[in-house]
Amino acid sequence: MDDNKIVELYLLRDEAAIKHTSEKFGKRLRSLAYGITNDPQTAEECENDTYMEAWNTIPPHEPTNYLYAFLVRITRHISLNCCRERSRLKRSAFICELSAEMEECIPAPDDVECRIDDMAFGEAINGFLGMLDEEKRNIFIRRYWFLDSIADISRRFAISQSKVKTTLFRCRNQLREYLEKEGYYI
Amino acid sequence: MRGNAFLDKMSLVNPAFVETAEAVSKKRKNIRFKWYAAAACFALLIYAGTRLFTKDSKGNSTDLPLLYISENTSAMGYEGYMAYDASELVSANPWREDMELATMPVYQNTLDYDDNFIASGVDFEKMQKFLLEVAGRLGLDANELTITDDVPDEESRKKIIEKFNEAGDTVPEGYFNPTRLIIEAEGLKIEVDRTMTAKVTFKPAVKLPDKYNFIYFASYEDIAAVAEYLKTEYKNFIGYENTLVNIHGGDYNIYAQQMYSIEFFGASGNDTELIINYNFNRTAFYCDGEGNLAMARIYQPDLSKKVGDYPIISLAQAEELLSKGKYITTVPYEMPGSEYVKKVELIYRTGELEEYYMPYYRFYVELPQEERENGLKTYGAYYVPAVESTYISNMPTWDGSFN
Repeated sequence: MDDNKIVELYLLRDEAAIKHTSEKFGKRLRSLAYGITNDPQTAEECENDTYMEAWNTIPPHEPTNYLYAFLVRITRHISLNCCRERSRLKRSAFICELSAEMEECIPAPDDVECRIDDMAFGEAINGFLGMLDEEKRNIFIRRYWFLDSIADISRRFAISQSKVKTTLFRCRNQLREYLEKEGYYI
Repeated sequence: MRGNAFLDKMSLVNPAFVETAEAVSKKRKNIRFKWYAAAACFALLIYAGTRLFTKDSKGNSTDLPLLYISENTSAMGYEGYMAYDASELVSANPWREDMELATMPVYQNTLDYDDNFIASGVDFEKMQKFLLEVAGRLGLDANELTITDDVPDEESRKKIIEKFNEAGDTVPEGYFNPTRLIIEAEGLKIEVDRTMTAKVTFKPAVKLPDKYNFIYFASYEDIAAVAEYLKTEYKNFIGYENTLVNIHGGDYNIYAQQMYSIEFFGASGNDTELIINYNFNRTAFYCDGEGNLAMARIYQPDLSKKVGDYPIISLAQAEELLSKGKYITTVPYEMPGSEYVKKVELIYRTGELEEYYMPYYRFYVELPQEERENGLKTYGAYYVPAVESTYISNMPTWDGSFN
């Protein structure tokens, strides 16, 4: 079923919307959730929570042209929170590690209230990613969007773990320099 | 914004970028393998020609990959050596400050470990060949030997799987892969592990002639005498063309007992090869509590993945980096000052988890806080990369963290 027809079902409050969403995107959403949480049961819960969130937010959102992107963003958010809240998943330490890496990208990390809104941040991060060559961008996104481990990225791209780490290290430095240069204060 | 929030806001990445990273990467892997298969011969043909154009006017290679320092310390405690004076800490390290070493080789560890410490890149053929070679050196006939491994039997595996399940987890992929190949023969057990270390256990332990005092806390002179005996008696086993003795140690335990260890390595024509042999290709002998020869190890790590010959810094430059906190250490104290540096040597860190085997200056630094009432001092080990920092992606900076 086309994305716009699925969105229409949400807008009409027809519960068939969930069924069609699950059929079309369920596997990918669960796979993303599993990649983040590393636990099949939790991944299934995150997938189901995604459908509930989608039901509650369409309307007012009408992601006719970007339904998958809309859903996957929800799944990522839910999965990430699951990892933080459920230490038994043994992923909370991994999330901390990633957060620490991300902190290296912040020009002047401190406790001052965040001065950048979502739109500006989106502009900043996408501007930076657009400048990278495709491999570097993909590696960066696999790590900090999909939350892949170094070993998984190494296997996926058939490159050494060392090269993955070096690439990420350089990207983080470049991102920090980019944010400083473009005047984004975070 | 803290790192946590930054990680959350990564969800604002352009969906097109996300979809590309999700899809294109898998396809790219297949293309990469096809490329490698097609280009292998061609690469060999052009190798000699391209080599001529990869050095700059100073003769330094301009296409050396960046190196990454992996600070993997899972052990408890820290690396410190107790002695009354640093001069008691001895070894036959061939490195000298006046050696003219502009570059030193760096090797990539052929083994990769995942989060569950399961190794990939293990070469079982090389392990088997090494195992049979060591057996041959000990006079065993390869045709009469059975090689086994350390894969747990069916029952043990079931128990392990049950334990994982009870913890709500599953056995990681590769968990039951073999890590060692083994030969058992009369009086001997030989094991070769994935790091290409051959361990020989003598069963029963071998009694040395009475005049040799091969015990844990024997004097330097006694240990040196044992070393000369072993060098002759086990010449074939040691196997180097020209064998050099390395009596190393001289540090004390908390009971003020001093210990020395015996190793051998091969002499070589040039300084670089000598340093490589000293650090990598060595044979060690161990006693038991009764003064017998209980065990030996031959270290022969796989150095087939040479990354390149990297320019190295001088000792003076390393000392400056040390004073600026640019070091790796497991010592829980900041380097107390250059006046406390009592000894230095150039070595390779050869731990199993090192991603690159590269040279470091190891500084032995007296830790004033650790001096004991009996006068025993502790010298903490601080490592400064010997490779020029422009080739290191994550030059270390001491941040006060302790393992």
